[in-house]
Amino acid sequence: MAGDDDSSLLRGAQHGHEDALRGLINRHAAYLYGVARSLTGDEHEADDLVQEAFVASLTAKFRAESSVRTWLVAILVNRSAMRRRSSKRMTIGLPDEANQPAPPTSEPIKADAKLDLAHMLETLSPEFREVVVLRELQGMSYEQIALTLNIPRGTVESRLHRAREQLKTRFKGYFDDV
Amino acid sequence: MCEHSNQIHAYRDGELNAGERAALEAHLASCESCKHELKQLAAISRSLVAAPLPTFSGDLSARILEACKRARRAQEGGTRKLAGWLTAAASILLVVSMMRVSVLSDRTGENSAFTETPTSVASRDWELAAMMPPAQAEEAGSGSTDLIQLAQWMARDLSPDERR
Repeated sequence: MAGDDDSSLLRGAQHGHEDALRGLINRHAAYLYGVARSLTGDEHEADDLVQEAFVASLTAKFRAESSVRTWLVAILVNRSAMRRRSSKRMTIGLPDEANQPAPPTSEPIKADAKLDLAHMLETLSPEFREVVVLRELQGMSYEQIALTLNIPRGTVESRLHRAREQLKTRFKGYFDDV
Repeated sequence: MCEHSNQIHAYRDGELNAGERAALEAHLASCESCKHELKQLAAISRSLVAAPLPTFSGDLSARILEACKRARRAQEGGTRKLAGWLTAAASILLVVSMMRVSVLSDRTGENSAFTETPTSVASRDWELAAMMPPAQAEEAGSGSTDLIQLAQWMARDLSPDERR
């Protein structure tokens, strides 16, 4: 299995071959967990999301328009957005997180601070984290992000813009020195 | 802040068309504010890509594998159940339509009585049961009462005379 490419492993996994599924998990589970943890900020939710993404990948159609990893991340982010929307429906009346200002931050982060992705994204709303992950980490186009999240292209653009502005404010010194 | 700063994001993300790109590049050559904005966006991207990812503890791989197996079993179980229901429904349809055809052919064809097929025999038995008087039906045994009643309903339902 070590020599197989991701597409073959995915095909094998979709046809019920356990070795192929194991290979796919070994290659991508850790990365997917890291992304999920950065999106949700919660280890149990991240764990569930990664499992859901792999389960969904067994029946979803891979069109080879991106790498298997990017495709898996897109599934994961899509699931995360779906969960967020359904939990939001249960708390109708609360203000839309995306329209809220970023939480007050303490001192600007210094350039030599070693931060993981979850810490870098923690002050962003979940909506902003989703577009940042898909654009910055996966290099997806605005159109692809819009399709993945089922939102208009203009919304992708404005969320990305505002997310970056918030990141710039929080990491003022950090980005100036990078 | 420069009026072109909004376009810097789209430029950085490769979302401008050739004309827009050329115009912005011409502007960038003379605008320090936009150049700084572009440098900052690049720095944000680099930092995000270079940031280490949170790691997990415990055996996540085993949990994923188990979740996938569970989902597959559920999917296969669902497919089997559906196939079972479809087979049962198809069998019932087949039996009913065969009985209907044989009842109709027995009633319309004069010579059909001389060419008995298993279905015509079966349908004749059903009709016989349907015409049995209640007392006789009792004698046939309590276990067959329901069957006889069902046969009577069906015979009434299928009978051309009743429909008139």
